[in-house]
Amino acid sequence: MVDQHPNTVLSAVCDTSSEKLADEQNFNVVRDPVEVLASDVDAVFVCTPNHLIPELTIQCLERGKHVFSEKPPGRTLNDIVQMQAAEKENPDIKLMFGFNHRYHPGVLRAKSIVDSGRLGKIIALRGLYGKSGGKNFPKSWRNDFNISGGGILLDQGIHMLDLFNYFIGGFTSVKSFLSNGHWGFDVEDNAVVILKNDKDQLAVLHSSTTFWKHMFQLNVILEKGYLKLEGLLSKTGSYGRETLVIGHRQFEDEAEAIGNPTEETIYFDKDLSWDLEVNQFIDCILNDKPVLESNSTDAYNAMELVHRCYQDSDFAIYQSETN
Amino acid sequence: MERAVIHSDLKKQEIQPQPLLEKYLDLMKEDISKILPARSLLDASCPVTGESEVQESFSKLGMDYQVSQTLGNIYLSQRPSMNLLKQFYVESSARKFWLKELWPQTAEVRKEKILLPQLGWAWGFISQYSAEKNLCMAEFLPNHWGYRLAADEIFPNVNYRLIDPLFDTAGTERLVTDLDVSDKIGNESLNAAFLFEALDRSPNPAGLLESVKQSLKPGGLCFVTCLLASGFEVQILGEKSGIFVPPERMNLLSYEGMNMLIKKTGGLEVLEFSTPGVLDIPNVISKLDSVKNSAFFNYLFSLRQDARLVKSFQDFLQLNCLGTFGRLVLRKK
Repeated sequence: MVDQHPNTVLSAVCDTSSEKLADEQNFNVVRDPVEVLASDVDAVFVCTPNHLIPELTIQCLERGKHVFSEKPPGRTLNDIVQMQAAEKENPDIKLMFGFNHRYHPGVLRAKSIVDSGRLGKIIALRGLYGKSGGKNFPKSWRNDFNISGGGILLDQGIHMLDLFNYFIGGFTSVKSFLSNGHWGFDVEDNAVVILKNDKDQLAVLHSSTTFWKHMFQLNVILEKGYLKLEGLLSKTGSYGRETLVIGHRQFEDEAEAIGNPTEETIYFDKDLSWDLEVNQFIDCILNDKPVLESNSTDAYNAMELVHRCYQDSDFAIYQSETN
Repeated sequence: MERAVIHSDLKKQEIQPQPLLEKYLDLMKEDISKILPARSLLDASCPVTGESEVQESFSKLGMDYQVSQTLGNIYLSQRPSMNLLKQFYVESSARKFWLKELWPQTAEVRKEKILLPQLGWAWGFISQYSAEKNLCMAEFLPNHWGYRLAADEIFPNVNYRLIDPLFDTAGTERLVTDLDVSDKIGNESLNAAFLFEALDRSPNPAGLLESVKQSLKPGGLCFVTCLLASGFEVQILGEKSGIFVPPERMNLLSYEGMNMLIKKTGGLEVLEFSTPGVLDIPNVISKLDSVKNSAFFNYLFSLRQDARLVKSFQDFLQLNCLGTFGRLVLRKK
């Protein structure tokens, strides 16, 4: 995507296992991030395991390099606070986070329908987001608390929490139940989260590594209807075809109000989420615009929800001061 | 690109009650013989490719449709000149009947099940793609559909204009009267343009789409609804299909024909191409007796006695753009 943008060139890739990268490339391959930090690149994409994100991001910001950081924004709430402090000290440098689900076509359409007010106000959100485990899953760094800082809720559930914030936000009550009963990692393999804000809007999330099938589903329940997002366009197609179901409430005085209303299902064929978010990042740099979406405030808000879920749970590993 | 599958309880009888429809068709047939005599009609060619070679021809109400060789577009040929077409719309008793009888008796259900959902569909896209506060929209060739009458419920405080380059003749009866002519629309002035079955009715769909493109701002949206020659009902019933009537339906482009028209126009990105209609199967069932080799369809839709099968067949048609009612969203690059 960086190479495809007319105003950017991919200059270097840093990977500690750089032998994985082919020799014949149009960019430099380096093993030590210091080489990137010392170079004259304008912007850096930080796509590392979680424990490396804060330090790399802060060092880039301090050296005047714009940063697009993958989610989650570190391992703890303190990590994003530190990154925000570095951002504040370098106000001309852009910092954006990879909450790309906001840019998926189904989410964009759902948001526009909600914002149009046609279906009234949101009453509740319900999300399911999970994966099947997969090859070598038990050995993944994502399940190592010292590297990841959390389990499936921090790894994948944070996308759904970001969408909850995107659609309603302002959650004042947080309840969570975590389990590591299946895999026995020191981090959770399942999380059930219940949220409520001061407008009486509810949100429920089940984030899981044990659905045995990649699954994404978000229900938006409104006063005059409902939206059901299902599937996510991806390279492998493993989350299923991305669809948005739009249903209109049958009112109580309608003769055929039998709980099976007319539905419209939209099938999306093209995922532009990566292009949209990267293009937005580059546009903010080139035109010195503030980062309005997926910015550090959004990252903080999502991370704060994860933090409060972990605090509310009875998982001992999340009860220390630093978490 | 995206496509929509809609489960609607819309029934043909609700919008076209059989006695009224039969009266309308009788009047239309009389109008055609009276106002559009064969000697006054002109040859036409495929509205997309310009070719004259045809796969086949058929007649409806005394006028001839051709099926183009390459793309399977259906078009009226011979057809009236522009002046004669205007005269037809002024004098047509069928049109008066539609406006005075058929519309008033079906207006409520049309508004609830057709007009408001379609305007709501458009509003979803406009909300997503346009950040402007003061939106300017225009409906081209509004004819007698009445979207304007429902638009205020969906687009409050929007400048919604009606553009009719064809029927500016004084004395034409219509549901709405506050019409502009096309030359009052400035280039790159519109956030959204609506072509509700307008390409079907235009003598020059390529020219109409080009002028709409010119009138859109960069990033502006064009919403198209149309009947498709490649749709199930038209493919199965052909000339027996009651969904299109001359001279109003001058062109029914196929799925491929519509894509070719957009490609030839250039500068337009297709955001959605769907065929979300729900009347293909009921319309085919109602005329199965007139279909050759209908045994299999009779088995599917009747003898099998399985409503789920019929529903899944309609879903299949919609999901694969094989329905007769088409809708598109185009975005000016």
